[in-house]
Amino acid sequence: MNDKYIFATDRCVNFETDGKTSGYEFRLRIPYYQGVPLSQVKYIKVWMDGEEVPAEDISVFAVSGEEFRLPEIITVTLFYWEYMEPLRVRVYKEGGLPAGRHTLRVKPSIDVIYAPDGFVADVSQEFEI
Amino acid sequence: MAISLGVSIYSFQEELFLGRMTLEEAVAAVAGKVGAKGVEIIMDETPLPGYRENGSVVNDEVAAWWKDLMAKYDTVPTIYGGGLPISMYSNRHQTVRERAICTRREMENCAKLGFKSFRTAIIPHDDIDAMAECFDLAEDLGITIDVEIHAPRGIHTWWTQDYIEAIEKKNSKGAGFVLDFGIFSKGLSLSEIHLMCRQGAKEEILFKMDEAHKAGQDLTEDEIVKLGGSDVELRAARRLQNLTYDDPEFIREIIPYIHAVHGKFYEMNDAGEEPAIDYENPLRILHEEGWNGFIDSEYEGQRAYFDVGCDITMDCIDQVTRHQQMIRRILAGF
Repeated sequence: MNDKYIFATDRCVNFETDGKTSGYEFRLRIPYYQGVPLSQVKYIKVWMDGEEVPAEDISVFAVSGEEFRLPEIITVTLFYWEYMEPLRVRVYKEGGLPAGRHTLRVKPSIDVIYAPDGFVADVSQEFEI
Repeated sequence: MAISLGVSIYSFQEELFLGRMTLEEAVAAVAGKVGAKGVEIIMDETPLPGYRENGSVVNDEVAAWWKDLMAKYDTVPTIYGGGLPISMYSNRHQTVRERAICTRREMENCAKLGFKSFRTAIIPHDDIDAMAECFDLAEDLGITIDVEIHAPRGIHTWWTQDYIEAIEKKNSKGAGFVLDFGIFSKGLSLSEIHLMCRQGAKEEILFKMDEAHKAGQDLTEDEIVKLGGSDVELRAARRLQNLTYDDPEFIREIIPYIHAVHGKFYEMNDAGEEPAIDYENPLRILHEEGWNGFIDSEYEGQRAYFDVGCDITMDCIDQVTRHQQMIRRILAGF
């Protein structure tokens, strides 16, 4: 759902922690018609240049700034992936992405009882570092 | 009192989603260009300022912000759309007791903001047990806990009938239904016809199929293929067969339990009609029964344009305005 709008921007940028480039980040809109607590996110699968990223290397941010790794979000009921606020997603990868063109594929899913596969989107976007 | 008109803010979902409209701007559009009195929200779609920061509990500040907003635009709250607590955790379903506790918490929010109808949904059968644990609180709060009668689940299905049984068993005044007009679907919507055409269907075949369906004479697969139809048209045929069309007369059976109506629509045509849904008969019956309440426009066809890539952006305010004009026109004819 909402496939056309899942990528909130055409940007994916490297980020630094402690003065070192430690990965890349981007923003995703939700594949659902309302916000949900992070505990209701079934998965967010990420492929960079065709290679799937392990869930433990991915983190998401609450609107108020708290950061959670994907395996932790099952316990996060107070913070939401909001409908009107794209989710900031980080992938930890030492050195970040090299300069050049890359293809990012994402497949997020929201767990909803009446949708057997969840509310899903599966979209790709090219961008330049 | 008579039938009043409102708008579900969900109708403006694309603009809200893209950050091109705020909740206040949506309310301003309802009161301004659309000219409606009622405002419906889905709290988890457009959470009010300060609500999340307070752990998704409406406190005095949140309620004051909302009441000021309603006063500023001379609007009134109609339906509060609650969440689906059963799916709160992606690795298990919440129990009946957990669902009841979550629902009661949200009902307090609903009442504090001045909404009269708390809209929810029954998915598995034991959701009815969870709701029944909330009836007393609904009465205390002066609201009703209303299950949406939504396609493909019509009035003569257990989702509706077993809920009535639960309400009657407790003799509760705190529960009933939001009737969604999508259960009176008589044909293909313009939004899906346009989607299918982008996917390769021929418009004239779809219109022929739609016309035949409305006349009660669905075209057979052979006839569709003979006309030049292929995969997409055959998908349209299955869609037509699966549409929910309840006899509008059924409405009379549940009149005392209908606390609000969702004026579901997909796309208004240039003549100001919604060709996919029967409005004439259900509105006539509501009128004849002397039903008082809000019909909230619920525009959904914009999704057919943005679920899959397409450069068309529908004008949601214009669509809702036309929809309200249609309802007023039909009601004025009775």
